[in-house]
Amino acid sequence: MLKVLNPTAGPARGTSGLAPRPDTLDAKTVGVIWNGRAYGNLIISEALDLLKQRHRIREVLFREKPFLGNVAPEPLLDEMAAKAHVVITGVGD
Amino acid sequence: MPQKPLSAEQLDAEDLYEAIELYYERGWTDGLPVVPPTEQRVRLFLDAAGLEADHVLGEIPERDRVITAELLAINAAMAGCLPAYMPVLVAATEAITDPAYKFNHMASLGSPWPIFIVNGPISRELQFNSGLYLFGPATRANATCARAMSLLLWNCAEAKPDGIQRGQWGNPFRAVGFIAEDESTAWPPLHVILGHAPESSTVTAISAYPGLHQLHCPRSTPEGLLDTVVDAISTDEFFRGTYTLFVSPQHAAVFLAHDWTKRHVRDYLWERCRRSVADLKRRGNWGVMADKPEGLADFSRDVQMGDEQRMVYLFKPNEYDRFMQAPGALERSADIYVVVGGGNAGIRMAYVVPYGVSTDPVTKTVRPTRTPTS
Repeated sequence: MLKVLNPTAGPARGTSGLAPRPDTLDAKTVGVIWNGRAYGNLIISEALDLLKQRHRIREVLFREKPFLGNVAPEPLLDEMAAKAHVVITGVGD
Repeated sequence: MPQKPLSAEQLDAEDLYEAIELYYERGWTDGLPVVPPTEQRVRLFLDAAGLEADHVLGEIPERDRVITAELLAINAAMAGCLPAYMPVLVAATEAITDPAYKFNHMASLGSPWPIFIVNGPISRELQFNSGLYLFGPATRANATCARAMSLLLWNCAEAKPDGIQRGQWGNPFRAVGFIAEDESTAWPPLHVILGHAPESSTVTAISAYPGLHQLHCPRSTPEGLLDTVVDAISTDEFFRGTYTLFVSPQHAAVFLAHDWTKRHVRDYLWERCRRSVADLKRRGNWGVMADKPEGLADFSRDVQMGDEQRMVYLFKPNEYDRFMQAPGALERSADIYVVVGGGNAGIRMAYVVPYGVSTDPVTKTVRPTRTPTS
């Protein structure tokens, strides 16, 4: 009999979990940071249309990152933190 | 000697063959059989590094994971490494978990993977290959260290095709991209060029697109040799970053005979790698990576009067950067590392194209075995 070791790092530590979710999107400002990948903007726009049909969203802030491989610049993050109640962002193709 | 207990889950296997199959069943190997890692074996690796099992070598925030000495030791043992390789693997792990290396780019469709270059006395002590058949397979040190880094990220950062690795073609450097520089010429080795002491040992990680580009360079003057390289690099990806040029000892002798330093080689390429705007437009590169080029008044994808004479430089910042280079690339380093290696006889040079748009090369010192710290 042999005892061998599991080589994986296991599940994520959970130190960067999900942000708190609001109860409703009514009267909320929704921020979008599009990473610039082709068609990602179209998918996000479709999703926003659906959200607008279901919720009385106050405003949408649609912004694009200068470069998909880098974190969004500080001024953009500051703007989102100051004005948006929720932010949609992510990588997509 | 490290004393702390290991934290990895232990699994039972009837015998060696069942253990090998277990790693296939769990998806913990890259397609090749592994050496089943037992606690006794893994402890030899921790002893060789002088590190406690829970010593944190680096973090990968994008995956919310930490890489401990234990995880590296387990994966290195699985890859078939010798325990003595651990200090080199520790430096390699520290390099790719450095924030400048920017782990998130590894998920790119372009299949980037680091090449690791070992410099200094340890490369000879551990018999890393710097010569014939440099990109192997050839020696245990090169082959197993490359695989150790591949398995480490496979198992601890989900860097695999059914995980976060979205590369289109994959990257053979995962299997062979761990090499040493031939430091027997009069040229200073890479780590000395980068400011490290000659007696120190280092590992440099450079994120690279797949594959080695080999060039037939039959001429025998420095300019003649490098004009072939200028032509090839200028017609490649044409994205700025830190390229690595591999020069054989035979060609290094040509440069040295003409009193050319590595800096001369680097500057020759820096000054000359360029393409005309017309070429870039015909090829379809013009404006592809730039930030909203359509918004720029003088942007056009059609070849226009004067475009044959307008030159875009690959390395030197110039007025056309905004049409050709991704904004991310312009925030990153651009350079040409000149590394001696490969078979002594032969008239081919080689280079590696960097994934330069969002990552920089990172060099870490190989520390000798340490007093354990947690």
